[in-house]
Amino acid sequence: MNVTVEEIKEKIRSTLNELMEEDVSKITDDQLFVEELGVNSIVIVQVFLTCQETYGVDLTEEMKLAEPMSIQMLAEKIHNKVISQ
Amino acid sequence: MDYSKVYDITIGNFQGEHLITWFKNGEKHIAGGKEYATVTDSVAAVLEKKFSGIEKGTWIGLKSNNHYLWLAVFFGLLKIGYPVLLLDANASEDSLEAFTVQSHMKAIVTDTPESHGDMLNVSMAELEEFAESFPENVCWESRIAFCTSGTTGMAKIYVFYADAIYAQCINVSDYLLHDKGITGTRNEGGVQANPMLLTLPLRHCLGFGVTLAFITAGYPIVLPAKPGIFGMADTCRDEGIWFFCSVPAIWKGLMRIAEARFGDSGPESMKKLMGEKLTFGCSSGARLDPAAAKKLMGTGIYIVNGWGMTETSFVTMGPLKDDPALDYVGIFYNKHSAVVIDTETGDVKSEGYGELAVNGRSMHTSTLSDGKEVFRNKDEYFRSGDLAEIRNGRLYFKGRCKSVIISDSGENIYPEELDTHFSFLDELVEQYATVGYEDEPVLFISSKSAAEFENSTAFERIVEADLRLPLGKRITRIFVTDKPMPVTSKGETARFYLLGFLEKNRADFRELSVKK
Repeated sequence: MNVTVEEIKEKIRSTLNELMEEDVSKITDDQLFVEELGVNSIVIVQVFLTCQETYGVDLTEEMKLAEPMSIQMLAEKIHNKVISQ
Repeated sequence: MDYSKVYDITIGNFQGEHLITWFKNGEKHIAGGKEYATVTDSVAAVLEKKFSGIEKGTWIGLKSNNHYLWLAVFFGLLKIGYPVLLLDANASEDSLEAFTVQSHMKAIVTDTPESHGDMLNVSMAELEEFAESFPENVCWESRIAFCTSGTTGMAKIYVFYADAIYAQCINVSDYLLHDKGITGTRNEGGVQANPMLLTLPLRHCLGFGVTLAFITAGYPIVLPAKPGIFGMADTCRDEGIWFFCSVPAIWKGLMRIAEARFGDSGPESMKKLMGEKLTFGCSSGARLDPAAAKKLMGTGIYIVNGWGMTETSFVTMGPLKDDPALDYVGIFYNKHSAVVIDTETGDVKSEGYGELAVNGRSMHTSTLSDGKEVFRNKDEYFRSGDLAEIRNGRLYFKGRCKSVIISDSGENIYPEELDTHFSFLDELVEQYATVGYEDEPVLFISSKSAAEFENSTAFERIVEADLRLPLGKRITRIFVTDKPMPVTSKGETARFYLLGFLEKNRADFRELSVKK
């Protein structure tokens, strides 16, 4: 699959936009989902699932670990998985 | 009474052709009552062989996410004589160890193979390979147990005997079949044409109770085709779901999706999202805040709210539209009786304001401690720890008088457990305590280095420890002060006074995000 980090970030933003009350355009790429944005687990799980389905990557371990994650960090993680496939 | 009676009214005598629908590798599967009874027997036969070395009456853990075989394993274990401990599929190693100490369980059924010391393990994947058979020695058990989703090892296990669950199935299914408000929302075609979507975990008292009551009444259940909140909405729409029960966080999420996609969460938008046939819903498992309650009433779905606890099972239920008060949680049903206890005088009253205490046939019978049952006095009302008002037989939820925090995802968070988790702070700060603030856990700290707390070792270790907690239990904020915080007569930090203390001394506190 030929996809850029910017395209993945856009996908994450559009998913967040459907799930969050806050104006997603005001969220920076580096803000942490839980620690800074107070995003709940329902939203995070859906963002991961949407990315899994869209890019055909497995994020099960990342979901389990639930490490601090921002739009930028998640997009890069997915991009690395896509190019290593 | 043993669990054969519960099995008979749910699966054993299920008359419809459609009991359970599930999806695997994109394919849809449907089983009727008879087919599922065969599956249950076959799974029981496999388990009987696997656990042949374990004495009957020994607790066996069921630690699995919702799965089409979940009910087969549950009833299969009971049928061959093992009481079942219902565990969170994501339970931590610490909490699992604590549950083992309390119950003396000897085996565990999990989604995928797991290793837990000497404990025998069977995975759902293994069980899916069953061949049609029947257990050799049927000897139904009479006990199951619900567990708290412990984080740090403070296990709480509540035992329910078959008569309590049987009564709940009968009482709730009766309500589902005969309440005019509910039956008025049904689509044409009788019970079989009105399926419920199973979104709540079956190991939790709410998901378990609702599902068994629906099956008792003859309604089909459908497992989501895909995980996640989008998967719930899609399955609801594609499968013509009539009833959807979930926690406030999910309802709020669904309304938000409707707003983002269609501009609002009114009836037409919700129909586009969830399908035309979704006309009945239930919000439970956590407090429904007034703003969300008001919004839910505008969806056009007939929404009932309720109150119950793991220890008590379902106690009240009522449609939101029946009462203008947004803290209304229904009328007493399921044959429970309730009183309120005046928090000042201790007087017990049948109506008025105070701590809610309940009793009835569907209550837990005992708790487990070191493998033994500690029985509850059945004549005593169980004190809920919730503040409530009973007015004309209606219940209004007013807040909590116990320290437990209930997030809007329905997660019970025990501050004492989190205090244990952060107990390394004993040597690093003057005082600390976890408190529920806006339905989330926050850490209150008194430290001489409050002014630069984010640069301290204590802060660094809090961030590290926080990451070891499950997502829904993490602390996202710290309130730190260099002033002493209130203490009890025993010299412990007075958890219950901290929110008031914060309010009065806001200028003395710094609020920090828990991040590196």
